[in-house]
Amino acid sequence: MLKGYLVYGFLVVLIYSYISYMGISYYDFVSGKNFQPAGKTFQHK
Amino acid sequence: MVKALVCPSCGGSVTIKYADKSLSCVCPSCLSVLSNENESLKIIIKAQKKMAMPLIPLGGRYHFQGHDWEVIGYLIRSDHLEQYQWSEYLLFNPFVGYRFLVCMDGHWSYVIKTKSAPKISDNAKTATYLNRKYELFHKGKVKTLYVLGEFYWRVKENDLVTAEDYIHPPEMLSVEKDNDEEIWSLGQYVDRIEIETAFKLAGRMPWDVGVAPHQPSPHKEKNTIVLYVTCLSLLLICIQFVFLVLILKRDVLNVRYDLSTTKGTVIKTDTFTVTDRGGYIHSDLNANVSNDWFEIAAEIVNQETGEEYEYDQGIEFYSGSDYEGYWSEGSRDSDRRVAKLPAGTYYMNITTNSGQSAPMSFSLKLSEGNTSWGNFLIAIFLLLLYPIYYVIRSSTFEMSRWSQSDYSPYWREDA
Repeated sequence: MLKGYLVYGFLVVLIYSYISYMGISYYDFVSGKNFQPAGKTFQHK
Repeated sequence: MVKALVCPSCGGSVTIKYADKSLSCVCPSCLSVLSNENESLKIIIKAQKKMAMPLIPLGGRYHFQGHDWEVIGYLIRSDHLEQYQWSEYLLFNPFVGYRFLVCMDGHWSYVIKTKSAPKISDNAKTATYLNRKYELFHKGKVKTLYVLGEFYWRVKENDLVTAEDYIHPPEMLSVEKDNDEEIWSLGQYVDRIEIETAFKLAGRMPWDVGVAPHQPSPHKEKNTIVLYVTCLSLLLICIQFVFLVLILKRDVLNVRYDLSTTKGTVIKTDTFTVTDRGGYIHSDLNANVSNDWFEIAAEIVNQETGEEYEYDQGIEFYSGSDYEGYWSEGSRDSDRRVAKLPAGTYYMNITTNSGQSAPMSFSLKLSEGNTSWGNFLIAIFLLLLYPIYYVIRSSTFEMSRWSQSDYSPYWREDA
């Protein structure tokens, strides 16, 4: 259980680092909008 | 030394296996409790009412806790109101001595008499034994309801003693007092599987009910979890520090326009450079709007690739006065957070719109390398989810343990 928590914790830190670098929010990441080049408020034309 | 005698109550044969040590025994025929005195037996309690048979048969030999034991005695005991009952087995090994095996609500304890009395605190709420502090859990009267086998002490009729239990899971320190003596013993909680294996009770073991006073908590990983949370949080803080301090925030565009009309005006900005630094782009819009709304539809165009990104941003501000005085609603400023753009040179096409077509000036400022505290706080919250769940589970277990005690630290009655 504790190993699972450690893996989960590192995943949280990893996702946090990625989305903070990309300038998006957890909401964008969860909703999949982070895969658009400019995230939630941008769209490709 | 085995001794065969005649029961003075029923005339049946009574065999005492350890006659040189046993002071009391029970006639297997009439269940009278007898006193072993010299070469004869005297009746202490005549013909006990038959109660439950012992789960572990008397006379059986078992290997348990590193020694071979013979089960020579069995007692059913209870509190003085007979609300709670438990059974005790007397184990004997000629080279080791006597031990007790206590079973209450399916929870088992291996009990040994202590060599000395613990030190009791002034308020009588704790007992210290072998440098370990035990907390008072229970105080009350205990009586023996039923006995079988033979015992190294003289069983008394209407045997009622005062008992106190102090716990330090998985141990319980108990004392039984009467007018003549004070006997301290130390009980160790034993897993039911160990009992089942050692005493060959497969399929006959009673289920354990609730939480025993000295049952070890299954939530023993508190220190490891605290360590993990601390390390992960520190890692998170370090990364946030890197974003805040090392990825410097930089203004990429700062423009101001005076418009004769705000409806459908298209503006092309000068070019500006976006670097590859991390963090979001912050768009800050300000307009001297009054009792109106104002909106821009912006296209950010990459000069080299022609790739376009768009977003919109609006503000509204209304004010006036009524019988309560001046009022206002909205703001002349608005912030918008947009994701990082690929590095390159960009320009913006801005189309304005508003409710009324009035002359207006507005300013727009874009900066890159901004760090979100929201993500940091959400990450901290996500890290704390499991520890919070763990603490709740652990506390629930401890509260369940202490729910049977009058001395619960979770339930203090203030005078």
